[in-house]
Amino acid sequence: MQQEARAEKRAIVDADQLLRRVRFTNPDHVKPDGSASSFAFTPRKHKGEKALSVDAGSMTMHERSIKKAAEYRLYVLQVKEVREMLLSVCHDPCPAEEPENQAHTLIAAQDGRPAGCTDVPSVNEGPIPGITAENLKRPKPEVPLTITAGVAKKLARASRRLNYPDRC
Amino acid sequence: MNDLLDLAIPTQQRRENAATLRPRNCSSTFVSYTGAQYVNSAEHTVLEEYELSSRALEALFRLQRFHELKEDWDSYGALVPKAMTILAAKQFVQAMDRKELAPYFVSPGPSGELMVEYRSEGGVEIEVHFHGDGSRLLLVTEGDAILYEGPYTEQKFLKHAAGGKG
Repeated sequence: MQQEARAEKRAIVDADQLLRRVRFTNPDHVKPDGSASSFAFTPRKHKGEKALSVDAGSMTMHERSIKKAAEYRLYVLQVKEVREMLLSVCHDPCPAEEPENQAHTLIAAQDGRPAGCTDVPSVNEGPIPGITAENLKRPKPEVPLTITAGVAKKLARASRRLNYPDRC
Repeated sequence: MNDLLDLAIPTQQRRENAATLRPRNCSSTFVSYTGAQYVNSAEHTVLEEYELSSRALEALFRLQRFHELKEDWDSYGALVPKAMTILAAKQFVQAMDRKELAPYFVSPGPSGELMVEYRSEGGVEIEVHFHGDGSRLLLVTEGDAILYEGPYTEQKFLKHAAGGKG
């Protein structure tokens, strides 16, 4: 009973942040300009995974999420920005590999949403006052089917390094 | 040292420190680097004559270090890249350096793949992904725009690396 309560799924709000560990010692996923490599946001295809593991910032602490501060840094994604990429953000607490991690969350494309995830992005094309030449020309945004290399690149670009434990 | 190319990578050391190296599974030929030339001892012919850029040397050094990776090196369960994948990336770095294209960044991926990234003067980022099955992917981006994502072709790579966006 207690176990079920611990694993209760919660909604992740737009204002929340998502934390991803990024290795910064050689070999690293941090480029010379400080940005993260797209490989830092690529799911483990060899394990058949289609979604990306992150921690919901509001449900964890930096020192817990970073695991090894000597080897990793935390990169932050804003939930709102991830959803604007038409990706789902699904709370997935206590997975088999991290049974104690209640903050575990998945970023998923159309094809990788975990069972029970109700966070389905809606394509908002914005106000369309009428049929205009401009509206007809505007390409419809597409919900990505999987987290491709290009999607991983966009996630990497949207991420920001957290100044923890550094204070620079 | 895992392969012939590892042995043939020139270093900053010059002729006075030239080494004669013998690859595995090969008793009759060897490759020596004498500061400016690679020589095949069986034919006594010059195979290559060029100097690598400092960025290429750094990338090759980093790629070499990927042989030392252990499973789960990224804490998310990453695989280690195969020796042949590392070799393919090294050969690519060397070949492109001869075309005066120096890499910006190299990185291992979560499923044993490797990436070599280039940046054009126009701000285009070009990633070549080397997969464990031998396939390659080319990803070209400019800002948030994806200019190309698909199978690698040298023609496409060179066009974008030279600054073309089409």
